[in-house]
Amino acid sequence: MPAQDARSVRALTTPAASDRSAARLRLRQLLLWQRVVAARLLWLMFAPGFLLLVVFSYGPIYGLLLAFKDYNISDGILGSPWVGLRHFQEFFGDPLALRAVRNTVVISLLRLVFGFPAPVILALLFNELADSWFKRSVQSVSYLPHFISWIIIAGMVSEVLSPETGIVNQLIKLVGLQPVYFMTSETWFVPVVIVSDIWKEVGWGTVIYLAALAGVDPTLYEAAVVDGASRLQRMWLISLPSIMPVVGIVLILSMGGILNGGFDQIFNMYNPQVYDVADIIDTYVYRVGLVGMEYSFATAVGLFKSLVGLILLVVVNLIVRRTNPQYALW
Amino acid sequence: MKDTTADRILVLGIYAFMIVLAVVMLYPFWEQVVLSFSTRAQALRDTLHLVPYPVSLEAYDRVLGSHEVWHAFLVTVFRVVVGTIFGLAVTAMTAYPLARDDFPFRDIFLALILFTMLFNGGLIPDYLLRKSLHLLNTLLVLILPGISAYNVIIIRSFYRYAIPRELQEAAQLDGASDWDVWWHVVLPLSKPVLATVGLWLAVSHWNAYFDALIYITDHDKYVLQVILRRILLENQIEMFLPPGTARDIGAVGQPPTPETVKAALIVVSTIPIVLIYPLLQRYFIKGITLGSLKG
Repeated sequence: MPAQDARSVRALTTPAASDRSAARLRLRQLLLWQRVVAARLLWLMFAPGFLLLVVFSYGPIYGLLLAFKDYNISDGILGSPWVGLRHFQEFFGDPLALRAVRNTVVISLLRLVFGFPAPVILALLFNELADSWFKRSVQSVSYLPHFISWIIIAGMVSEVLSPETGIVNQLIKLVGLQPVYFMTSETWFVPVVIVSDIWKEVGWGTVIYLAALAGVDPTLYEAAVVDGASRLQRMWLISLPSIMPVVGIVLILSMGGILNGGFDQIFNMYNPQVYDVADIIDTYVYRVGLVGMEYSFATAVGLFKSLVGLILLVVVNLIVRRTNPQYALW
Repeated sequence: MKDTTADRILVLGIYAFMIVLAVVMLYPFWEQVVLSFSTRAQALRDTLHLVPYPVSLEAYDRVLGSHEVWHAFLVTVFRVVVGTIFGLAVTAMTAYPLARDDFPFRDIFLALILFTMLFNGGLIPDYLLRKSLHLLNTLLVLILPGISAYNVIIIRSFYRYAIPRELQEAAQLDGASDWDVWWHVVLPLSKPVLATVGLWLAVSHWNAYFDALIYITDHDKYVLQVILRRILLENQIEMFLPPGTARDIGAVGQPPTPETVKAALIVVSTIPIVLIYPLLQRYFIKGITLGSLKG
């Protein structure tokens, strides 16, 4: 009998049967090889993109080793000495790092509480309007900020909030109050961040909810009207529940990003005066790690962040799966 | 459906709200347009800027006359064009084998690709990787990493659900190779998803700044957003000084960039997006619905 894996041998009782299964295995291996060869053009098509993806997505994961080492430019990643969990200990003992974590969580939670419902509500409002050039224009206009970079928006926001010439302060001065230095104020900076984020994304955020609303069975509304339901009641009892699955999915996906905090926005809007409330994990990693060149420490912080994000995503999805399975992601 | 009086008031309220919304959305842009056509003195005055008066083109003179701005603009156009074409071509090509049932180990590859969307190495490992690949300070560093798993999945879903298998099988029976099937049968039918992902990539490249910021140090490889950032947020005015002026670095003593010039720069940088905006809307909205197919 030719040498085959122990499993197939053990499972059999008769020599004839073991011969047959050995033959079947060889056939399967031969067929696999044939399939691989037959698909050689597909391999060629697949290879470049896959390689690029592997290099730029998995390559850095190899660099995560740095989180457990003390990086030395001359020694490189492999040669640098191991320090185990020392960077993580430093991280938990560093008040600036912990401040960054605190700010990230606070800002993300505020975004969730205020920024998440906004497009849902706006979509419900859009849904109540009959189609018209007015409605379509307002929608178009509301999508525009989404396509503009934060650099430009930060510039525009600075101008709008400018103490001398900005419209907000003009109105404030009109009422007789002192102009507010929004961008450098520890009290106002975070609200500015939240509001400008809503301004940028609320319009575009309605698209996915409007798509869901378009799929709602119109007879549901008709039945409600017959029962005497007002528009508000129809919104609350029909429209809103109908898009809950989509809302759920979007919510779960945002959970994974809770430690992100919105780097592009904060990076382009913050300044040293507001680091205390505005410095998030990513901006901290940028300053300390890239500018300050503390590579291994910053890698450790980044690893911590990615891991927590992943765990959060899995946990939230598990919870949702237990309670309302149809809202879960997998 | 007849509306009650309460309902009609609600709808009226919604319309009023929509007007306010439109104004709030547009005002910041409008203010920049107004400022860009104002004189420096006018811009600094403590009033509402609703209409430029007097109208002045001095800001545009400086912006459109600046060599640095034009150069960065060209670099950006290069990046957008090459990055989009390359990214789209590779993504569309990579997605095809994944859509076929006879691609060996397909499911393993899919899992590997999906995983990259959940976890990444972070800023420092990214930087060190590109450094070790000698990509720093080249334009390639802005183009090569542009393959995103998300786009691969979107195009793959389209291939699987929108392109009939019979068509592909018929072509294969006629002797077409896998490449022929993709190139002559699948791709022509994929125009919607290709347009969507292509526009997605183009906008993302146009707005990208962070990779250019940290991976590129040569002044003549800067993209427009980096210049924007320097001028808008860091107040570096050297590029607007006449050539031959001693480059005295140090924020103290340097006059801050006039608001009018910043505004003109913003207008100039926003115009390309506004121009292709109607296209963007149509395909992007389609893209969202395509994306929800994959769920």
